[in-house]
Amino acid sequence: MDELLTMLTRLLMGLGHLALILVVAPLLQGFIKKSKAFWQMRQGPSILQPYRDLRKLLKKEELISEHASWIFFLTPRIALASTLMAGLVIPNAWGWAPLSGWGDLFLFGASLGLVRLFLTLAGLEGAGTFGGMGSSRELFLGVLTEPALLLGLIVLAFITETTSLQGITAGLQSISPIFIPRLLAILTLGIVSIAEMGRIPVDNPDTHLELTMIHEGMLLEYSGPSLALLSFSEQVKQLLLIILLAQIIWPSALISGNVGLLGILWPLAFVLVKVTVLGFFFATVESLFVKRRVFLLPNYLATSTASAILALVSLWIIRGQI
Amino acid sequence: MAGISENGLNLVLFVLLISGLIIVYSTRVKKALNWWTLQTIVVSMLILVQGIYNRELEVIVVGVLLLIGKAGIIPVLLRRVLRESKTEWVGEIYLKRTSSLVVAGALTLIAYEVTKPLMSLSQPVFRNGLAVGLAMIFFGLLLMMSRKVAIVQVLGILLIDNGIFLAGFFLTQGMPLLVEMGSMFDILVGIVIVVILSKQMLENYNSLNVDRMRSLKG
Amino acid sequence: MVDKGRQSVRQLLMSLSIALAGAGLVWGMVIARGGEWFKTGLKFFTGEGAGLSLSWKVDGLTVFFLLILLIGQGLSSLYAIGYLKEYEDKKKNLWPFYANWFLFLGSMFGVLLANDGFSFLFTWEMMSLFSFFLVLYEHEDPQNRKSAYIYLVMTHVGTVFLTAAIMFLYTKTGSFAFDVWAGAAPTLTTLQLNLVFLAFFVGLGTKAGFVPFHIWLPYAHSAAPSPVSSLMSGVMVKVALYLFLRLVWLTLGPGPVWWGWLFLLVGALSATVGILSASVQSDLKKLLAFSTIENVGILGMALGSAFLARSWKNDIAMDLALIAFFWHSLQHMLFKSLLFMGAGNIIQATHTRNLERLGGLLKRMPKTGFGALIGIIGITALPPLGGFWGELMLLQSLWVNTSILSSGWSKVILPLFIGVLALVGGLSMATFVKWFGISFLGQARSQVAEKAKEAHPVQYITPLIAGGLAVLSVLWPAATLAIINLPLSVLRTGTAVGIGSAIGKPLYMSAVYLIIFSLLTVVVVTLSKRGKRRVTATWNCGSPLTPSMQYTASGLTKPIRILFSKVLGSQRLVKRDFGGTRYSLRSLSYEGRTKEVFEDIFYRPSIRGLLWLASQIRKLQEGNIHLYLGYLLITVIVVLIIGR
Repeated sequence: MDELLTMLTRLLMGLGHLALILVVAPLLQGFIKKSKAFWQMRQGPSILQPYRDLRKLLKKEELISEHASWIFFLTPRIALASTLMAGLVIPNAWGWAPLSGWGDLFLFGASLGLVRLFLTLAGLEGAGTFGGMGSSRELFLGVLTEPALLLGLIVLAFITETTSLQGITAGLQSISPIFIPRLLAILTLGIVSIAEMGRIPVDNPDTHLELTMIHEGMLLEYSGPSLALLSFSEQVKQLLLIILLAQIIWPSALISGNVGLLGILWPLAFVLVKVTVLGFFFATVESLFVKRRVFLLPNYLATSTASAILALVSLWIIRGQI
Repeated sequence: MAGISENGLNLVLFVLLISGLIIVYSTRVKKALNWWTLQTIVVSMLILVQGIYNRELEVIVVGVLLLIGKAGIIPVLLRRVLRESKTEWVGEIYLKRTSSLVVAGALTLIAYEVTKPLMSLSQPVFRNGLAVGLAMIFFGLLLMMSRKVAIVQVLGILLIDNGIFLAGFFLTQGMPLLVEMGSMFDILVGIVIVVILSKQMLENYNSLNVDRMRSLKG
Repeated sequence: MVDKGRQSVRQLLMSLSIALAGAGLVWGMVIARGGEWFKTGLKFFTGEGAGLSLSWKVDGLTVFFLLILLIGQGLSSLYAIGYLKEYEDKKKNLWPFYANWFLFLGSMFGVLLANDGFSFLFTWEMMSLFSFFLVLYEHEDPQNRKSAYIYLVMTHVGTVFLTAAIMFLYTKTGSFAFDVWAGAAPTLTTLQLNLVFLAFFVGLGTKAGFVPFHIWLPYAHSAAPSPVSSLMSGVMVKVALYLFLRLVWLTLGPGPVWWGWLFLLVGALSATVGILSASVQSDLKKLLAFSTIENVGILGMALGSAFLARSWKNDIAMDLALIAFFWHSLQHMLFKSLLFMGAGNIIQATHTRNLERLGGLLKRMPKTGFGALIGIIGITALPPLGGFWGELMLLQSLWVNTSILSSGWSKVILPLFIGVLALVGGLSMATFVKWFGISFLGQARSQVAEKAKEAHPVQYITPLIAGGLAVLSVLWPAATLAIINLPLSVLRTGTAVGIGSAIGKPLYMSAVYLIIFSLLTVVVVTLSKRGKRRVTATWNCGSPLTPSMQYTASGLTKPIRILFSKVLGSQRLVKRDFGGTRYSLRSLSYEGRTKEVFEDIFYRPSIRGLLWLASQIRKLQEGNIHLYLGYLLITVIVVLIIGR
């Protein structure tokens, strides 16, 4: 009976975790857009605009290419589900992740990989040039980002001696914020996050100019509810990456059960502040730089891989092991 | 090390190492010079903080002098030479920038490898500092070996000086001040001579390319 | 007109093959409940005579690979029932195929059961020979003859090394039995031990397809008929890997640390080179063959991690690596068989292996396509399917290996292999998106693709069975782990950590992950189901869309080809014809090609060296009778001196 109760609680907490992610994701997108508008001296759309966009798209009629098959229909659904799966291993405001166990940091990258697989397939569905172009570039980006992402997380795993993201967040609390390997790992993950979020200098989320886009190129054939789901899952992915980064920079403690309402609300506010700061930071980065040519990206992402390796070397040197 | 936490010291050393690597990697003399200036400022600050923490007046004086002498006068002098000779590029010979970076990385590893015996010291940070110092000396030599513009050779010497200084700082916990001052003025005088020499070179060869100085052989 | 008699022969023989596999599986299941014997081994058919003592043995390790063999055999035989129909229609004589098929399967059986060097070499050679005949089955095509020839040469080079090692061990111990060798291994000097190991490594690595001994594999695996390809890729390379465990792990003993490093390095090299070559292929089956090299590389890395952990006495990492090895072997067998069957269906439907001529097949061959989709998710090591969970164990074992080491540069080098695995993962996604996307999605790029028809029911049901087994293994990880426990109990000594404890835990997560993922997908699908949909043309800036506007197979992975041009040896040839004027281009032709770098840097120089040596030796043959007599004299003297 007790076991059932615990399981039920865990299930409810997990659902709450997902619900929170789902609710906050468009808000973050709106905030980043607003921050960009600030740098461009514009008024900008309301922070709530992404919600309205989603609602509008969900009501619209959907156009499907005559060449497309059922994978085209399935992709947005799988993309959202799989992004949420990645969300299950990210520790939330209270330092808790529903699906945690050792090795779950590999699960995070791989779940995002599943999204990439289906998106690139969907890009080829329309039989047009632009989708293929987007897919080709996205695959290329995947080759470049995956080693950096994994190496960056692995360094953190070595620092905290666990391969679970929840454990990493907990362990990082006792590590100095200017610990070099940690700084380098943050640099790595920051660069990778920019690439994974599809932001400048890797990709431009605002453009719909066929020749320059990567992520939008694959979505070109989508409309209506499917497009809504895809942009929604992209927003969720962005939120997850930013939360992950935030939890590595300023980790939240795993709270104990009896801290009272204030004790529960306080971490939530704290995490919102962290996410806001990082969101503003990324908006600033995007306003300061320009998009790079696709073939300059290997250099850019090699920097992140190199800094991950450097982090590893410096970690063992500082620990006095080499 | 007193005054700074171990992590902070490591961070400082890391900045020094990275600036050394950037100097090796840069293709513009001006950029390399700027990074060297930054490096020197950091080194002097290290002394200053140490002095302020220990409340030793002479150490503070040395730090201030270093800051003025090395980070103030030398860059100004060198920049003037740069302007007059219209030198912009470092002139890579033998090694391109990427391969020199790889070589520099390997040299760093060697520096760490040879300082391994120091790992048993009380504070692991000493080994780290010594290794970074050694790496800086290596970088300086590498730069002098594989670049052809005279100013970059000077920059190499300066890098070596920083390296020696750093190594000395960590080895002896503050070198005898006299030696310190001596070496600093040595370098300063050396730079002045080089500046004069390079003017001569400019007049004779109309460039700072060391390659042209073939008459040095016996 | 279909010949009734031939049809029933085909069905009968292949059903026999399936029945044998099924019987074997049932027998195995019954006997596996037996208990202790799979740890010590069950000897049978031991025969003495002519100075040889031959023996055959089954233990847990064998049972696991027998399982792989039997499942592979069952699936391929079932598939062959449909596939061979085409040869029948073409009035091709199928008896050589049947004969070689059974002999090939039997010889693999023999290799797995052999417990002494002599029977091993004998069955090993049989396995090579009959698979060679099977590769040669479509000998009308000169390309296939060339492929089979390369295979024969390479496999013999490998056998030379194996024979040398076995003969050496025989002279040392006076026996062929593996057990005796295992007892004698500690008495060998370090040099002898290392040389024997290297000989085994080259000999077995050739069959497994380790880089740089891999050059035959893409030719042979793609030239063979699809059921044979799936057997060769799914099962035969595993047999070679099994022998690494049998002959190196169990017989030569722990060995020095560098053995582990060698496995790890060669594995990483194979994985990277294999998948890079695969990503630029546009041949449907060659791409799969190159991906086999990649997966063998990953398995090699798992072996390497296990060997390293064994030398460092790190039990957890060793268990993890071994579980990863067996798990991945099983999954790769299922997925690679599945994909080769899918490729076979496409080839039979369109009669082309060139990806550039395919497209839009998912609408014409929906069931084959569905199976293939499961296959690519599994083979690219993505959750929720099995490929990922094996890789997870491997990554974790590398991590544990690193973090337990007290000091040394190994702590930097080992995690780099994690990066290599991630890179390989990214590349394999690009490869299989290309394989699936270009052939199944979009518009048909040629007439043949447009007219493609779904294959014979057996031919799409078999891949789906393979996919179903793969899903089942993830959904019921406890059963899979119980199977993996059989070989593990043979390989590891000392106190058992037990898979049921903490180590197996993330594998139990596989079922949880799969269930939650499916639930989420179902929820999202049902929530977003309603709403109007309209089928229209693809947006193409207002101009009509032609099939040639799609991205081509080579175009899709072109960025990768450019990035890795040094490794792939990419070349481009652009011909522009301006037709007199400087401004208007009349015609433009582009040709991009990659070359086998290893053929250039490894094989051609050695062949040149061999030829040079031969020409030097030829100088000895002057034709002068006195010289020959002189040789005779020298020989006699040398023999006398040696034989003193």
